[in-house]
Amino acid sequence: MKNLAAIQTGVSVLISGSESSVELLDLSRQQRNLLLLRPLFQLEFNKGRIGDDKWDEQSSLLQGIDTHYLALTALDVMMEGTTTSTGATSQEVLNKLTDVARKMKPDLTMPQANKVADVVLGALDNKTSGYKEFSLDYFDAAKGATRKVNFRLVSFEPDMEDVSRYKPTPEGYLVYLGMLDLAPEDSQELMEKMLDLLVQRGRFDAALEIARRARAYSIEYRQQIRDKLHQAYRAPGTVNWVRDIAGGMKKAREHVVVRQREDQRMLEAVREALKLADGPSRINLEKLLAMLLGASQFRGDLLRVIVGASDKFLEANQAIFRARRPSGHPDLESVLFPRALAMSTQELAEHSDDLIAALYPPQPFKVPDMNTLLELLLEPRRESIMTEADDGEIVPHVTPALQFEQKLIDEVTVWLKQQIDAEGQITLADLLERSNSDGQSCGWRRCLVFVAMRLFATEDSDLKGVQTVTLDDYISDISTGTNIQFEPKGRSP
Amino acid sequence: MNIEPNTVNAARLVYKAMQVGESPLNDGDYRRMLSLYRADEKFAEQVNDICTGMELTLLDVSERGLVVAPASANSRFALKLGDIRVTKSPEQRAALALAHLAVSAVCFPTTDQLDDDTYSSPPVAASACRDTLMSIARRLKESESLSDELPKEVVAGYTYINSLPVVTPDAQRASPNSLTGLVTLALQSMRTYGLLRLDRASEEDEDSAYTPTYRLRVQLRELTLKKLYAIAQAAAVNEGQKPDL
Repeated sequence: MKNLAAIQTGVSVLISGSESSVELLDLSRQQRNLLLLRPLFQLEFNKGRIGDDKWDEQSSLLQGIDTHYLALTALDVMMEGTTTSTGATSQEVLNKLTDVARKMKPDLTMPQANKVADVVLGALDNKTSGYKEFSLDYFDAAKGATRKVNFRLVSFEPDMEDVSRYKPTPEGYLVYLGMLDLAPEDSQELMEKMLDLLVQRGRFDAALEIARRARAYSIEYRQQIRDKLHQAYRAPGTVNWVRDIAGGMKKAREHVVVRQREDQRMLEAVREALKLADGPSRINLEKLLAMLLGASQFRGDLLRVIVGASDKFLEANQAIFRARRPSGHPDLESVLFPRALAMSTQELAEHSDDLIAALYPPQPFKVPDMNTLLELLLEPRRESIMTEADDGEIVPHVTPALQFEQKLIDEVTVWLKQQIDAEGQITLADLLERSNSDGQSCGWRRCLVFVAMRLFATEDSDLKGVQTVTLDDYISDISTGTNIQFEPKGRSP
Repeated sequence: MNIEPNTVNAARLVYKAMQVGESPLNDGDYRRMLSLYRADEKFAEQVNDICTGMELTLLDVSERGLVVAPASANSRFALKLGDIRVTKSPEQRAALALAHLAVSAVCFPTTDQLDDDTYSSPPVAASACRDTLMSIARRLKESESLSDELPKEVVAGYTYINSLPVVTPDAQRASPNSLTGLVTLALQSMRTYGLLRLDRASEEDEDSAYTPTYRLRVQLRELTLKKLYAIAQAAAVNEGQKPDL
């Protein structure tokens, strides 16, 4: 039975102590993949609480919005962005999400749709934790301890022109591609085999779906390679070409050449099938052909990037020519700085003042002078103000409608005056009770409280001959608060 | 005007050396005092004594000026990390110190360049400093093996650097919460204290370019690298590794 379990999972590790017979399977890979979806689930789970405070839970901003779909759409936009540049700008992603959100829920206003897009992108980028990595715990059965997995779904990084763009990280791709956790180059081969099989069997609709996925993998693969090269070009001093890059490039080149050969074979097979096909399968085959041609073009591009990489790197290196000869102290960039980076943050923090003191020139004492202190305080703080891209539109000011009609107010005022005249001295609590026994409506009595409160401020008062005195608190079915006593002016000192 | 080799002038020379903006190029007295320092042994001794008494170390004397530095981090003249930015956590302190090292590494990647007085570093873009910090941290992460794994409560500097976003989308001012922010803070402060000159200003901080001053070269060559070397060695010994530097 034990053996069967091990064979079935393929990755299981039997952990059993001599005294315990508890068997734990090593599922950490699956667990980690599961955790990648947590940010998406969390957003969906909490969506009732997000949005305008005025809305109740039933009609909250994200009610009726499928946040999973939006999150995957965002990843898709970023992935497609990497086909033309290094990713998609924040605005591109937000625009797409806004459009999709309005399609999903047509009664969303533009600002609401923008807010939805912002929330979804924020969830992918871990905005609530200051754009840091997601850090989640899981139980590692092999080690018998709780461990942490840190990951990002998207990264927001500047490209060559220093335009910051979003792109999916390897974990983001994993989420997008439905948890098929294989290296993109392996997945490409797998997809090819399936594609081949499906075309042979005449299942062109399924073949089209597979071709679509294969295309996604070739995009991911191309991005991986380009990221690696991009880093090398930007900071050539930090890269040893032969040690860090050349091996990977050789492999990539071989991989792409084999894929191209396969592409050619597939294209021919599809063209052959196209000659014989008709009806719906012909349409599918044509789509498939276009898809395959597109993927093949990616590979052509990638091959050009790989072939030209070493020359481009040499150029980048020449631009900041750095002769490297070992002498005296170890070099800062290649030895000392990496060594400092490898130290623990605790140690670094302890020595940070030493380092800073050793780097900076001596500082004159800072003796705060009253004049300079005032100057400092009065100095306006420079802060760049971000202007909104969309200024919005000017709408006419609408005066809110009065809660009570003037007629009702007048009627209540007259009644109140009569009561005060008749009683000489009466409190708000008594008035409310009396109006209740007179059979007045709830709205009428609320208006009474309104008029009574206005009497308290002499400027607003409609009854100039009445003065007010505050008493203890009162509680009634209409209102609670400080009780007020009314009496004609000059009655009490 | 002749400069007398007396204590007053020796102290004035130290005073001038302590001012970031002072240069012998546009100050005749400073030039003459420097010449005197090189010609008159007794005057040089007086200057050295004043430096020692004031907890200063004399790093370099040349026609570009006298370069002095605080003798230790405890000196009243020493700049503290908190003077640059009040940081909340040890991680942020570590990251800010690393950002300073990244800038220095981009300006003077090799010791040869530091030693060679004729070498002048090309202007350094803020983005290049950020990329160096990022790419070395990433490379260390990629090359880490399970045997290098630190205890759970200890975070390596590169792990923290990798966990930070490169740029925060809605940031208005430089903050230690992103790599770009850290590097910007380091660059701004190094410029304020005369270690860098702004070569090309740009609205986008990342496009600004800086040129290292002679003072940065001397500080690194005579003091910072020695200090860093000692700290790294001590850390390696603490971890029970053979120091490999």
